[in-house]
Formats: sequence, C-alpha cells, structure tokens
Amino acid sequence: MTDFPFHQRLRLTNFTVFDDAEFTFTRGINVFVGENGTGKTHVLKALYALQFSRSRDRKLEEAMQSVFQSKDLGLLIRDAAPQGVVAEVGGEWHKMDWVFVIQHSDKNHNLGDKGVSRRIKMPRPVFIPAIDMMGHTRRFVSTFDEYEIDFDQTHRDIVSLLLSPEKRRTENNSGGLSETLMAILGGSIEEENQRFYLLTPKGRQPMPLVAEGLRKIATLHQLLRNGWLRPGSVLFWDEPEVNLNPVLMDEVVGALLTLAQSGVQVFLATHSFVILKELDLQSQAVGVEAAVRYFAFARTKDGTTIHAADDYALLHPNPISAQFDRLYDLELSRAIGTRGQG
Amino acid sequence: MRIERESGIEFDFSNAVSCSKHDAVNHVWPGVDFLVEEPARWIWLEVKNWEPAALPPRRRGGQRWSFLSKMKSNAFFAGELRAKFIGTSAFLALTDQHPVKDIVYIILLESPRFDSALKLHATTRMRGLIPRSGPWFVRVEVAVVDLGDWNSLFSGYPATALP
Repeated sequence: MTDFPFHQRLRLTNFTVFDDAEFTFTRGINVFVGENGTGKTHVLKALYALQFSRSRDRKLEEAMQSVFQSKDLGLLIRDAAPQGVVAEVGGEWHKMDWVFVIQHSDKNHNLGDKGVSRRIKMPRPVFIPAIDMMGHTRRFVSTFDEYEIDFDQTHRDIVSLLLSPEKRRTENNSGGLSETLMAILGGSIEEENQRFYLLTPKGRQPMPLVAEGLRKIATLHQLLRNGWLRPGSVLFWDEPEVNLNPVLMDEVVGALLTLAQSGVQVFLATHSFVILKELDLQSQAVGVEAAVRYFAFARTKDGTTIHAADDYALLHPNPISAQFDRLYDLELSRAIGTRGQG
Repeated sequence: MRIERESGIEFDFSNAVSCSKHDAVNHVWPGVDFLVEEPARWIWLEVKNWEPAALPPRRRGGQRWSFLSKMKSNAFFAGELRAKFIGTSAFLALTDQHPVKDIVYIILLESPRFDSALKLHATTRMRGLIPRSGPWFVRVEVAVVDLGDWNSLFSGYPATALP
C-alpha cells in the first residue's frame, strides 16, 4: 500500500473538556469510546477543522468557528482553566508538526495558527455527522450559506461533497466496495435537482423516503462514486450506529475496514457495542493495513483523560463494558435471587 | 464411559483422549473443574449453573447472598474465573505437566436468562483478563457458553442438566 500521509498524533491542552490529552493514531481505524460529554466529537471536529482549512487554504480561525458553530472561540478554552491560560491543539501530519493556540484578549478571543505551517497541504476531509444528510440535500447548501441555521459546517460540507460531480481521476481501489454497497441498497443512486433517488427494480424512491440506515450506506456509496473516499482520504464519522439496525452494522464495519485497507484513515466515535465487537472480530481477519486502535475517553476531575488499546478486550475504562457488567449483575440477581429480594 | 457431574450437569467425556477432574487434584490454587484432552488441544472447562434447582441447598438459604456476591461481575470475571485459569496453569507448571497443545478455556454458565449479548460481553471481558499467549507459547482462547452452546460446539461430549 502506498504510504499516504495521515494524522499521526494529537495533543489537546485546556481545550474544551481536556486538561492535557495526547493521542497517537493508527493509519487505519481510530475508534473513540466514552460517555456523552467526554469530548469525542470535539476531537473529530478539531481535526476536521484543521484539515479542512489546510485542504482549502482557508483561515483556520474561520474553519473552527464554522465547525464548532461559535464565533467566540474562547468558549473552546476549558472552563476550569485559569483566566489568561491559552488552549492549544497540536499534532503531527506526515512527520510535520502543527499547533494552534486559542487565547483570551481584552476584546475577543484570538486564534493564532502560526504553528500551522502553510506548507502543509492536506486532502479534503470527509465528515459524516450523526444526523443523516443524504435525505436533506435539496437547497441545503444555499440555505446554509444564506441564513443562520442550527447546522454546523460539517453538515454543509457533507452535502456539498455528496452533490459534487464525479472526480475526473478517481482511483478505483476500494476492493469491490461500491458493488457490495449497491447490493445492500438493492439498486443504484441518482441525483436530480439536488435530490437523491434510490433506483430499484420496484421504482424510483426519493432519498427522504428511504430508511435512514440505508441512507448511511447510500452516503458511503456516493462518496466512493464521486471520488471523495479514495486512497489517502481521511474519513471522520460521528456515531455511525445512529438509526442503523444492527443487521447492517457488520456491513458498515466491513466497509470501513475495506476503506482502511485501501488507504483511507478513519476516525469514528461510537456508543455501540455491536460496532465495536464487529471491529474487534472483523479486523483480526484483515491484517495490519487496517489496524484498529481504540481510545477510551474517561471523565475525571482533571478533565477527560485518554487511554488507548489495540485490542478491544484490553480497553479500559470502557463505559459500554461497564453497562454490560451492570446488566450481567442484574441478570444474575434475577436468576439466583428470589422474587422481591433480587 | 466417562461420566462426570458438576453443578447439576452431567457430561459424557468418553470421546476425549483423556479427562480429569482437575479441582479434585489441585488443592494448591484455584483450579478449573475439568481438563479435557483432545488430539489437537486441551479444553479447560469451568462450570457454573445458576438454575435454582442446581444450587446446593445451603446456598438457596442464607448463604445465597454470599454466593451471589461472589458471582458479581468484578469478583467473578476478574477474580474467580481468572484465578482459576492462572491457578490451573501454575499447578500444571509446578507438577511439570506443561501443555504442548493449544488451550481453549470454556466457561459454561447455565442460567435461565443468560442471553447472547451477555455471553458475548462475558467472552470479550474474559479475553482481556486471560494471558492468551500463555507461559508455554501455546495459543489460548476463551469462550463463555451455555448448555445449548456446549452441546452444539462440543457435540462429542454431550451434557445434560440433571433433574
């Protein structure tokens, strides 16, 4: 496999819920696990904003504002940080360090991106938000650009990518993934007047009427087809399990592993035991190209701390596992305890 | 015929290369219930039956709660089940019986309501607690199953719940 650039490290200091957290990523699939409010989506968005600005030659400050939906970037400085303390987000991309700083000033909050070298050019990232957008494409971009609406830049960008024409030179290196996804959909996708339709032997169904789980499959298929998911891409996916029936989760995880094998670096945040277990089981059959690394986000009095493991069974603390422990204990009590005493 | 009973379940190990009731000989450390030898691997079997009828009479009364607390997730997985594996390994090392075949550690949990999700979780949990390369460089796998799974996966050693 070609040695594509990828996000290698990330360090967050006084940023949102993080006091001081460090990540070392795999070029394969990076999985974020943690309770609500532990900062998983913040990490996805910080990396996305950085990469988006470096792919489009846009100001990082603007990218951060639009991705985090906040004109005041000072809100991203950790609440517990003393006044005057700066927040830092830094990392490594293809052996090049970058860092940006959010600091208080008298009148507003400034974001200094002097450390984000203009030399670093990154491919345009793909962010699939938890809310499905495949069924809401018509006039979305123009509405977003014209009006203040409660969607962030990631929603606009995914719609924009879905609607974009096919790239002229798209390396078809997805190992038959498009065909697999089409088979799951039971048909193909077409777009007309900014709306997608699913074409099946039964007819032409507008995408808003297609089951939301299938729309996620359609999203992946369209991004593959128009070339935004290709070797060297970076995919951020927030909670792929939302509205996805567990019977489709093995297909989604299989698709992610196929993408990772082809050279796509993947970041995903999940609360789903089924997604995690599918990754655990399927990745063993795939090999090192699609290595999976799990990151546990744990809330402590010093902010969220990060624990990484390459084996899901060794991930600790694991809130999903803790919930199953609790269910196990309840089941044990029900099985052994007597009525009224369990 | 090699018939063994444990926790209200009867096993027929006649088809095994050998079978020993390990906790009957290992009084030094906690140990698994059975060591079952197959041509290509060992099955280390630990049996826990939660069916009320299978519980010893003393545990249906006042001691039930101590039994219950022993079986709670943390004490049971990280304590007892792990300790039984380590204790068995240590005993075999001490008595110079190093396994040269792969080991599959089977925890048979029979409960009226132990469902697939909990079995899957318990297996995953145990995988994180057991040293899977082992001290003898043999492969170690672990699985938590119920009686139905056992009879399906190990049909050569049929097991039945005693009335």
